[in-house]
Amino acid sequence: MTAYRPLSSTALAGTYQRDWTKSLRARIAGGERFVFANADTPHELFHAAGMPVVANQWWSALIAAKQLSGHYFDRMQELGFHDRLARYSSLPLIALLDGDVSVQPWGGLPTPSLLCARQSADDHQRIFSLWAEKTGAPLFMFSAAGIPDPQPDWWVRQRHDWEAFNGSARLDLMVAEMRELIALIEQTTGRPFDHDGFGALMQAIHVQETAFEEANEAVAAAARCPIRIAEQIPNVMIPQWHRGSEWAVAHAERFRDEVLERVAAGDAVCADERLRMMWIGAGLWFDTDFYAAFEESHGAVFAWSMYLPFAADGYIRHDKGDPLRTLAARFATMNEQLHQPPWVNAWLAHQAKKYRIDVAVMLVPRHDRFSGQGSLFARRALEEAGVRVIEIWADMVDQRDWDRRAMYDLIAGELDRLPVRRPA
Amino acid sequence: MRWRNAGRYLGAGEHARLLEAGVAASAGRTPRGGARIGLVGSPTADGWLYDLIEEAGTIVADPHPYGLAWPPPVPPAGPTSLDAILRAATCNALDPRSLPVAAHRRAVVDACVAARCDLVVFQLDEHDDCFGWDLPAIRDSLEEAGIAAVDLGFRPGWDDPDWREQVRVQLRTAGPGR
Repeated sequence: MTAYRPLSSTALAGTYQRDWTKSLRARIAGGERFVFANADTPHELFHAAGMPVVANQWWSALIAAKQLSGHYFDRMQELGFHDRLARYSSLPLIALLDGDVSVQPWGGLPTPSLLCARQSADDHQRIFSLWAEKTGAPLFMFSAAGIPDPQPDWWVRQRHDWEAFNGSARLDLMVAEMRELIALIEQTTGRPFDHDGFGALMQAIHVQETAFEEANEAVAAAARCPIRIAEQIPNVMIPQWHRGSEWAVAHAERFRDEVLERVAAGDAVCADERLRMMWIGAGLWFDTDFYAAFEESHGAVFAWSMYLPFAADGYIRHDKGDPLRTLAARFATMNEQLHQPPWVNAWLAHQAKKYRIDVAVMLVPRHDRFSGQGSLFARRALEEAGVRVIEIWADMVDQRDWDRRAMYDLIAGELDRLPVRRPA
Repeated sequence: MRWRNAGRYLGAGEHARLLEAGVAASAGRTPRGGARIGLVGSPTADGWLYDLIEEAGTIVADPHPYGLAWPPPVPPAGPTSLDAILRAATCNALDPRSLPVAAHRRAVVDACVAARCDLVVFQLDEHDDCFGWDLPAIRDSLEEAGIAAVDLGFRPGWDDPDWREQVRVQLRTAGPGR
């Protein structure tokens, strides 16, 4: 087997994000105000206002990647919180309550000036309220208005027909709440919100997400998977945390170009690719090497994780002349598309077909219920689409419960029983 | 709880009539001995759980949203009624999903203090994802108010004899002054 050659984009993205985070404390000392926000909130408003944003889920993933989650979840129980509370969305909170920033990655986070979350799960308001109590920062909570007649093919309808898909009343609500947030941002920064700049940012984000879509189409259509998902994820998500910035757009295009070069050259993660797999759920942040564990033994490559395809389907919303409403269409149902039936199951089955997937490994977290509640719907839809589904009950950030050997044996045992395709 | 919860299923008039009859019938009864107990945590309507805990005294407060009128009483119909209903629905402080969280904690603690509890029992549904975030702060506030607390952890979904015995031991050792 030829050794896998990492993309040059990957190191660039990692370096950029590490330097950005390390510089945050100095920038705050220099007068900037930063926002700590859940991933399913419209960061675009903060970017347009020149406020740095740290995403809760990214910081959680980074803490886990630095092998610190065990320490913090032990602390969580010492602080009196029971062990069945959400972990992915609460790990940064526990690090905050622990108080020792020297333990945190890259010197830790400074104190935010603003907090933002969306009530897409019952506990987000609890977790972020504790943030607000501890830091004194104001908390802005977005509503998560349900859609009574959800059509399964959201990824089609949300591109152009998003007004009808979401319903005008829900978009009106989201726009009204965003206007409230803009007022809070203006109060926090002491500057008027630049609506023209915001419109330009939205256009730049469209360019960025289109570049990701081109990369996604190339990866999906390639005869053999050209890049590991462990590289897809940082090359997508780090620019997503800075979406619309000059660097983010340039990086998305650099990543796309590198992917296209690999596809054109016929490069493959596995020269003898025999099984194509999808990783369903958030990343296995404390053990991302696990994704590559079946390449040599089974010719099985993880070709799909949600982050790259979702950059296209979850973000591209064609502007109809009102950037704020377009942004509302992006976020009105964002998290639900990834986790709730009928959206998650329909999308995953569609993606499995597009990517020619044989096996889906489905990460089901026990304690982040919002992340897991659509899993069995997804399982059934995938099985009906002819995909073998392997459930692994584990947490995306809590390494204490992770038994790598046992999980390897579970998946390998299932792969051993599958009919194997000839190498492409 | 059972009296209050009945209001979810009975007509308002019938519920009121039965409540009045019940209050009248209990007027001459001698108070039971043991601790004055507050039952907090995940909402529950399990009669067996109430009976089990009342082996150690009398539950005098069970501040959780089960059985409360929903939405709460609002002004008569008018242009502001929808807003009033929405406000009332989102400000039910006993709902562990309500905001602000400080109001939920305060409502739970105030109910236990007002009922002169000398022991508060915490118990949780195994799927709890809300109350647990407030539990440490509520326990601290009760401690400041001089009220003892015992945490039974996650209750089983059914009446489990082993858990019963475990609870009896906890209640025996956790009462006020022990």
